[in-house]
Amino acid sequence: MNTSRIIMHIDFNSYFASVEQQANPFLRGKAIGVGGKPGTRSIVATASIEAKRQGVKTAMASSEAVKILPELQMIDGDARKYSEMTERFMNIYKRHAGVVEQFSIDEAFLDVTNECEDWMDAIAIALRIREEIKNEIGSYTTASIGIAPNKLVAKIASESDKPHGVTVVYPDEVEAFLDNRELSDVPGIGFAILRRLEEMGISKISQLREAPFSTLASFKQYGHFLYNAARGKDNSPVSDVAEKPKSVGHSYTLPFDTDSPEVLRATLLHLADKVAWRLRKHGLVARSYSAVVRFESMSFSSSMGRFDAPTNEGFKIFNGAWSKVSPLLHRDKIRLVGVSARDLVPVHEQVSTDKKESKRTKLLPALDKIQHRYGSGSWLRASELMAVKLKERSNGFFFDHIGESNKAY
Amino acid sequence: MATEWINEPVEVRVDFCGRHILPRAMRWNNHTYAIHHVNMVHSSFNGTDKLFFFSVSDKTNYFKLQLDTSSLEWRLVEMYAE
Repeated sequence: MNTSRIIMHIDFNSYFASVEQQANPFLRGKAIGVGGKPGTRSIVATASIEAKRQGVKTAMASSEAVKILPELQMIDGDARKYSEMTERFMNIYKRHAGVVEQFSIDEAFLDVTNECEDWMDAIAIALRIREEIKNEIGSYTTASIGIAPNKLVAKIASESDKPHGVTVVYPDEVEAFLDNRELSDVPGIGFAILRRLEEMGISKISQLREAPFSTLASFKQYGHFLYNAARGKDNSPVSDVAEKPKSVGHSYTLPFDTDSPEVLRATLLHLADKVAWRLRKHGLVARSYSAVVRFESMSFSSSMGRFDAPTNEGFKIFNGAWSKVSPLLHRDKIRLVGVSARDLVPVHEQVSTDKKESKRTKLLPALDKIQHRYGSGSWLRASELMAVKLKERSNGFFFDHIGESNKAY
Repeated sequence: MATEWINEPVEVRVDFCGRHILPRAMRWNNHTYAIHHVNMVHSSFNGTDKLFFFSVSDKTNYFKLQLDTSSLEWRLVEMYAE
């Protein structure tokens, strides 16, 4: 009788690209990249399996990708299509598992402990899920599945056989399985940690396991994670409770470098309104903010500030961010601007004694209703007319249109 | 070969099968295209108006068709020719 948890990690292969190949049969078997066209300031959000085999990597600049592989076809992303597919596969998972945690746009953890008598049941569930994905999304969209006693090992397992693998790691095989993996395969061990471990003479998971805990003390709290990861231990539960965000931000790479105060003001205001809408949707206000700028020279500048009173109003968020950005205009042309709302707390209704502010605050629920009814872009401040038109984007964790819709995220 | 943005109204003949709408033919620019495969269907909202998108193909062309459920208008959004 099984006494350990049975956790599944399911990860789609080249997700956006495979969805496009499912939709358009003439893209199947070809090297494609989903992202902006070369010559624009864009990256490859996802490369197809065919493109990856020939050296194209996710997050590579589109122009660089086309240099490596001239026959690469770049396809504009369709965030709404991908988000619907995400919703479909999440519904498939929920039919088979008591608890499902969406980890990213194309990954999820399933706790099937209560649904399975033994590990064979889990394998059967995995194969049924694969069949349902094929029927309900398409045969061209495939997923790799890892099944293990915890989330950490399940995720490493699903990565170990791509594309389209099902990898099972039984409880008594965990350490042997990890010994055949690289340290870099462990989620949470990045380049900087790898370098530090190498300096300590640790380049394999087995060596990390042999290192006494006192050796890892220099990593402080992170040392506990390393100690447990080397042993394949992870007690974190699969959780289907959506957490409120800790910060909400928007940044945008402009189609052209500029030092025009009008364009930058308008664009930053537009971004601040998007941040504000998301705050109001979550019932949150921000106590502080940060503004970020990337220059033509590719250097960054970022600074933070605190609001006099917590706010979820776009104009106030903009005023804060602009106070940090405007002094930088003469330094260099700007290619990216961004604003984040931080220190988020639940909103408590407060009546302002300032008439102008009170009028603005009363207007917000009406404007939110308009946006809900007619969609994003249905209202615009006059001062945003000079703003760069923001294209919808999707990345590994977020779809722009979900943040702006009335759907819970 | 590249995907071409069209965004023009078209006429579409469909079959209703159970809860599914299956486009069977499309008329655009005085030419009728027989639809051989419905490769994917997805939906989206424009405010509260629901739009359906049908990714369909014949032997040489891929079409993305849009059905606006509030106006019942069909549009050819984009196409790709081999």
